[in-house]
Amino acid sequence: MSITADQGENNLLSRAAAGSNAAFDDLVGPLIEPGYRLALAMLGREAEARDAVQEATFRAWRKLGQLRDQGKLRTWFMAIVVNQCRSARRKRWWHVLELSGSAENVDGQRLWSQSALRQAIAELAAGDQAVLFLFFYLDLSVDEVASALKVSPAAAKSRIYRAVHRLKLGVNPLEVV
Amino acid sequence: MESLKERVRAAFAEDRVPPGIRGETLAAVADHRDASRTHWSATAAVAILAVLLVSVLVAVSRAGSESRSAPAVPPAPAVQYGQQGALTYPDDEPIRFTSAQVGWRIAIGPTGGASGDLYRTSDAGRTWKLAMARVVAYRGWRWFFDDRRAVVVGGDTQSGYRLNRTVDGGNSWQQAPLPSGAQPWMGTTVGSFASPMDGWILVGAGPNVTSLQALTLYQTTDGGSHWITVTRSDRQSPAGGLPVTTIINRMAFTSRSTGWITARGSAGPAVHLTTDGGRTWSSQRLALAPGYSPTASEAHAPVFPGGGREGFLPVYVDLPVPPGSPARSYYVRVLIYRTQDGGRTWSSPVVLPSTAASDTVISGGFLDADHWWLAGWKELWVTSDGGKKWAHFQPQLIETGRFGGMSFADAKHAYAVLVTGPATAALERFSYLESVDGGATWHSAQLPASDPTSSPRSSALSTGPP
Repeated sequence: MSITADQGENNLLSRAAAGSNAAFDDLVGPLIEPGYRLALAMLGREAEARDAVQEATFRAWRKLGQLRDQGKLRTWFMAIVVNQCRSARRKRWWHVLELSGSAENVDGQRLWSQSALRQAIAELAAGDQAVLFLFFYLDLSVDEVASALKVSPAAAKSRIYRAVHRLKLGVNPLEVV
Repeated sequence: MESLKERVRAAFAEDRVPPGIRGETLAAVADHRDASRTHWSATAAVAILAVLLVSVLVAVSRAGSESRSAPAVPPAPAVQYGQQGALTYPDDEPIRFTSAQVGWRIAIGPTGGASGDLYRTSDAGRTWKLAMARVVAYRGWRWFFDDRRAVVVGGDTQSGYRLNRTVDGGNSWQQAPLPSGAQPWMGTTVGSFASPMDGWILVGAGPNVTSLQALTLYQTTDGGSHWITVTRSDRQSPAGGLPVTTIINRMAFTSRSTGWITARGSAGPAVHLTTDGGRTWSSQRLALAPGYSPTASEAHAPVFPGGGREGFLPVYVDLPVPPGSPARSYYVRVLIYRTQDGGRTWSSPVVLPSTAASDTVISGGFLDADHWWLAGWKELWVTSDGGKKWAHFQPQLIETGRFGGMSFADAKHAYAVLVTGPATAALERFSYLESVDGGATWHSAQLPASDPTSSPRSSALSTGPP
């Protein structure tokens, strides 16, 4: 008897929720890199992005039993990452800051050579970067972006519109979403 | 022609992803969940043993045996240690000065903010000496009492976390364990030391900070060698007034008897007071100023800068970020509650000035009851009369940069982190500034960076003279 991909994934979810480390790693592992990219977009600093995605992954493990629909795993995990980044940004100002000569500075020099569009995105507010990442990079639907950001679809659509508008690319944002 | 989606995707794809991020993250999470499972197993075992023990005691009591009293928390002497002058936790400050000459600071290496190296200066910041490697660099897991006495939590998830105590300015350290279940990396565990010997750690059990199921307060009177359970409360059987249904923000003890827990419930921030070493707690809700959301607040630990009965309790309230704000802006307003009776009652809040450029508060604190400061990205407010009048400085030196943290050694001497580069964290640079005129002007200060190649030292260490 063969099983469908959905059944396989649901089995994976069931095993992960039941405490299987291997199933959890198989399930969530592929989401760590995009989760890290999202955290980097929102936080800008490599070390903080590492911390955020690590904390988000741990929270995902703690909350996995609450996830019923395997198909919503990616949106669900990204919502946790977004929450973690918001929390990290909220606490950032009272963190001890890295010193000169750190890896971030080395990265920073490299980042100077990046494209004008990447730099333009980097200068947007974190929320704008998140919405662009979710919608364009992860190719989430407006409804999924709304779910990840915990806002209404109308608000998500509006945020995508505003973020594109702020990029000043000469693109009519109304044609985007 | 490339579509907008393709262009934006390509732009995000330029970000470098560290090789091995997946394996590194999963390994770290595996450590955490193994520790968590161990904690729950241990908790269950302890609970079973406790039930058996209680059953035996009840049986013995009913049989008419000699009555026995439970071990009592030692009587509370009038000790006053560890007054932290900062509006934030000590780790919020780039440098924590315990006198005009001696200061402590955590330097964080390139591996991130979870751990760092503890340095100490004895010449007002001119030279620095490594006092301990690999200490927890966040959530306030260190306490500096004076020039020679300090308690820090060191270690990591791999080797475990331990208390480290020095009474000789970091030349030597005594180690001790943390109580069962304490997880310094989790927001569900907070701690406070009123002296190098007297400490409390509050351990929350539950999936995360927003859904705690139980709180256990541990106390040590011997620097962590032994821990006793002072109070335990859960949702089914609340005990002692511990705020188990709230989000725990901070805990602070100023003596063996007196301490506070700040927390946020559905109605907003609250402060909980104990005067019997943590066995029982009474609470006071902190009314917010009109227009502030109770669910967006975070109450910090009360501070008593002069060591007297006057103190301050800062509450930070998130504000919506207006459209068009600078990148990565975070908008917060600081409300200061004041007590004149040693923290038993708290007044209506004073709203600190807005930092006009971005409204982003990066540091603030109290030197004493009169001298406060509040720093934004590009400006600094200083008061010498308890907030009645404020001097406003916009130093020329930082026109191309912004403050990233600040601490005052006294009314004149201050240090700050200078952040330069675009308002994108990955591109920022850090250096240090010093002021000798109370923050009006600033010049560069040379401070040593953390040595990323230093090996972990989890055992006691001895460093040579400066």
